[in-house]
Amino acid sequence: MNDRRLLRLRQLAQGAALLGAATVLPSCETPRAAAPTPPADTGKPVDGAPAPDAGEPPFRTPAQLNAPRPRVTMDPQEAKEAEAAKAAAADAGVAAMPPQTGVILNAPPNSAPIEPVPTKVHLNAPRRPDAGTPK
Amino acid sequence: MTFALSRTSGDPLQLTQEHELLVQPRRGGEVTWSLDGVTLTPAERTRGLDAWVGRATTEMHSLALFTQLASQIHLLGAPLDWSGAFARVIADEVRHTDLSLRMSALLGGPHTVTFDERTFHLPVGGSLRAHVRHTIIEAFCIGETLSGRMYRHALKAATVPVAKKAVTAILVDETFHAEFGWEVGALLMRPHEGFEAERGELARHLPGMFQSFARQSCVTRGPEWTAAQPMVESGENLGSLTDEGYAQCFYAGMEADVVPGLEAIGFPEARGAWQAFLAAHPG
Ligand SMILES: [Fe+2]
Ligand SMILES: [Fe+2]
Repeated sequence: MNDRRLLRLRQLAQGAALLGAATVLPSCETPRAAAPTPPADTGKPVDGAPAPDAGEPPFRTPAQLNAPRPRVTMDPQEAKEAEAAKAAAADAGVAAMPPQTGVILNAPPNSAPIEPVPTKVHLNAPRRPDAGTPK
Repeated sequence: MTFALSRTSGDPLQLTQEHELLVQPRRGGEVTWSLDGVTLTPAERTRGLDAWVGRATTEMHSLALFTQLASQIHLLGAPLDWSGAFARVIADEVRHTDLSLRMSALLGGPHTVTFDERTFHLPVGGSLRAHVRHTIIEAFCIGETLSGRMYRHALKAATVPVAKKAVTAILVDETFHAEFGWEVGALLMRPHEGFEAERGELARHLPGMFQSFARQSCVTRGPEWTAAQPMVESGENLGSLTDEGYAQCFYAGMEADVVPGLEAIGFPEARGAWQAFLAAHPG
């Protein structure tokens, strides 16, 4: 690396922080449990939105549709029940379910813990049996 | 669980057509998939095949890991240009895996490579930002930088036209990946609350990273002995180096790029860690 490039890197590293969400995201586990629960998929028509045709898949996430996301209003009884279910789950030590995104993961439930990937994978070097140590 | 990765789905599909377009080299022209006019000894063919099957494996791992990283930077609120650049990096790793599989098939080797999907992603412990920084520094600032140098020498070594084209295509991309890694690495070193603790923790991993990359680069002895060994086998070459050739790239790349770069972005500890490594590998 020449001096100009090194100077450029030094300058880049000394600017103002860029990451919008970084300081409020302590780990990938915590926010998932603490994230606001997405509106429940009640299958019922939502305020101001046309009733879905029978057989139409239930609305999942705005990521899948190029349409504004309708606001879901729970009826008070339903909201109470949902709260009670959440409290019961917390009492039982059950972690909150990850948000339902409608994305299908190609992984079996309760799959074995994932081993760290040795970083040899990024190198254009022949693979050796002892190569790479988990970080 | 393991699975065999094949190039295409097998039916005439639009998705396959799109893939075929994407995997065309960005520069250096189309690859002509032929060994016409090339006579290879069994040893030359085996050396080439080993290199390209190994690359199909490592490039696919890069694809999987970088795709995971790309999704993590979304969660960190990174500017959109990070996502755009990452999208190219991911497309590039698709290209490299594809080229490697095709080289293997052309040389009479396997058409598929087997993977265990559990080895694809890295688990996240603690701060996601610290994890992303660690992975970028390790996989890009060090990994892609050394890899680029190895491909540069592999291109010089290659004598067979199809291999030259394939290595050129990969080299063009890897050069960008290293540059991207240093830029993102530097941006991730801008101080924030709790930064010094995260930085210090990462700095403590540098000696281990250096050792790990030395092993991956086939380093067995010190820089002087290594530099005195041949970098390339004689005869026809399909874009590979000797073990000592890869090790030479490690020493040269660490000295010229990795250690000064790490110092520049805010790891003064890199110099001491490298001197300790050299002291442990005399001669
Ligand atoms: Fe690659
Ligand atoms: Fe790469």
